[in-house]
Amino acid sequence: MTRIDEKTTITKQGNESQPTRIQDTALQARDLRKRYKGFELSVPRLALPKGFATALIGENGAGKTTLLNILTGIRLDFKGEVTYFDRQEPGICGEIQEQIGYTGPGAYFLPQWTIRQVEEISGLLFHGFHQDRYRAICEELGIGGSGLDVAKEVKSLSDGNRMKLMLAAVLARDTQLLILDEPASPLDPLMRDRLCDMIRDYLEQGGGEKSVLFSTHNIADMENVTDYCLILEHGNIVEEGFVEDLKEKYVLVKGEAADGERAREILFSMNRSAYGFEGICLAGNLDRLAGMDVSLETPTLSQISVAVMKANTSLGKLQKRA
Amino acid sequence: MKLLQNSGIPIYQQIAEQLKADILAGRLKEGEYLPSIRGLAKDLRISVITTMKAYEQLAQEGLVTAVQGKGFYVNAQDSEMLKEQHLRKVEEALLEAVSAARIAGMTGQELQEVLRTLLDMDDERDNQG
Amino acid sequence: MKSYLVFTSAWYRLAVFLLMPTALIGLGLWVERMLWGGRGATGVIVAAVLLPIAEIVSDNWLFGGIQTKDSMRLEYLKTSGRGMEILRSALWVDLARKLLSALGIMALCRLAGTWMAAEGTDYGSGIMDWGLEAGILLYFTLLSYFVSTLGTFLSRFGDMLWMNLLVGYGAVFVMLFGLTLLNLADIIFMIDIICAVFGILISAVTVRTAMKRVERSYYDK
Repeated sequence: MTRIDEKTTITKQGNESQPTRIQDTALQARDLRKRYKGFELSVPRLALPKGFATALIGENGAGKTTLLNILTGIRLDFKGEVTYFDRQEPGICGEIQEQIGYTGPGAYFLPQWTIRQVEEISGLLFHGFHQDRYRAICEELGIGGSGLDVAKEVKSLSDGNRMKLMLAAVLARDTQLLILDEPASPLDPLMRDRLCDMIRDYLEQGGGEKSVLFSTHNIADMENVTDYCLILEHGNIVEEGFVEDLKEKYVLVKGEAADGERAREILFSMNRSAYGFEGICLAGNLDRLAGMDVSLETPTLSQISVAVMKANTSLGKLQKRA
Repeated sequence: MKLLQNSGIPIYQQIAEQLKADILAGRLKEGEYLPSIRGLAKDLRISVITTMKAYEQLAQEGLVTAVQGKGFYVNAQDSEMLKEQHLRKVEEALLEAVSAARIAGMTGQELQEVLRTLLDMDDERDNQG
Repeated sequence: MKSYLVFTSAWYRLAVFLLMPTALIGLGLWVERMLWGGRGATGVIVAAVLLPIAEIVSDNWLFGGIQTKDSMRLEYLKTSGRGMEILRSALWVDLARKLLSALGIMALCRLAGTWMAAEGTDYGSGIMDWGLEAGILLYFTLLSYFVSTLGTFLSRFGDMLWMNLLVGYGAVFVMLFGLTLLNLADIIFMIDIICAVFGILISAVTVRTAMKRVERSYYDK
């Protein structure tokens, strides 16, 4: 019979398991560096797990688009190397690009192209483009066939419809990796949900061979489809991991206002009001809260990412990694 | 399956425990395959990592076995070993109750009353089921 | 060839292959009829002067804005290994088309014009000197090709239609000026060669600039 220890009530329930290792990678990058005026993207090591959906989280201006542009091959002036899929040699080429489906902000298509032209151009640009699949997806999303006139120009489409068009164009192809830059932003909540389903279907079809990388500044929208997380702040990856590991590494702590000051020292980041405080704490630091009247919960990715980003924008380097 | 987002218990553990209960109660039969990791994740609208971890935990506890390319199937349950595990759990829980009762100043009699009431309530709930 | 087809929408093709030539030739011949003079050359002159503006304006629907500063255009093409090739061949086919269109329209106008003039009254001048004829025809073709191409090149720096119109109007004036050079009929072949050279130059510049712009968007910021 085991003795019940008084202290156990304050430790978090759950296994103290090792963080999951990434087995197979969709891509790996080393020593990526790109400098702008007053900003530098610096990623010493990056590994994207194969068969999963990875979220690149960061504020606007943190460097997400730059990183994704580099990984897609539409930005070539950077230092470092990227190795794709199971290849030995690093570097990107047309063959690899054929396997990558990219959607992005900005003028992706020529504004005067019509929906029909997008279809024709896609067929010309990519081997693995399936016209019937394209039409089916367009129909499903409400932008083709009976939905919208195919002679409509891209520039006359709403942002949401343009995003759907881009998605249709990439999903109609045979690809191994989807790189989506802020796919949820122009979409309404219903469509965002649909997007999550589409990502799930894509991964399922791939049977573990296909992967998705998407960026977002608001992870709450895509949280339920995220498997792996990369948190980018000021050009650096400040945290990464599988969601389950992150949810064990960080704890949501809620407590009394009176303990607020003490808690501030221990917590990663904190919100405080007259009614109490709430914040994120490293699981490893929990015992330092002994004696305080607190409740512990599993944080959402949204809460974790906000806490991590806040902690990294504040002054000085915080040695908060467990 | 009922999952609570905000309890202190990780979701994968909640899943594992609920599946474990199903297995032990015989709702999931020996040799039966659990739903696919991705399928379950899709239905529950969670990350596939979570379901993976849940299944791994079940595998670690010996309740299921993983088959490459096919999934996880339910093991024949060694009822003796499991019974013993559960017996221990009951003892631990009751010990906690006893401690708490002491602190609250409850008598042994009162404690037994509470136990009886709870058992009755549980029976009622099963019957409504 | 195929890439040109995808860059052009059905409307554009309709406008450029059917409407534009018909309108220009029709207008030219109509003016010819009205003025009834000029040895069957008025039509060609009208067509030649108006061709560039038609080309420049219609280009807005084809490659409009392809050379703007907005470096994020055409990302779709950049995500494919074939994107650059497709752009390049579309640009060249477009230039070839312009040249052939110019030649075709000029030739038809001239032939129809002389035929009409021959039927006419006093002047009744057919084609006398085939050599001179060819030289002048070539001149019209090459001049309008050059002005069209230069015009589209300039207008592609912006994607607003008014810019195309503006450049188009400018082109009209350039054409009119260019036509005064017909006084130097004896050295027409020399002029033709000069025009051809300019034509080749502007063609190369057009393709190169567009390609460079897109390629540059891979770098810098």
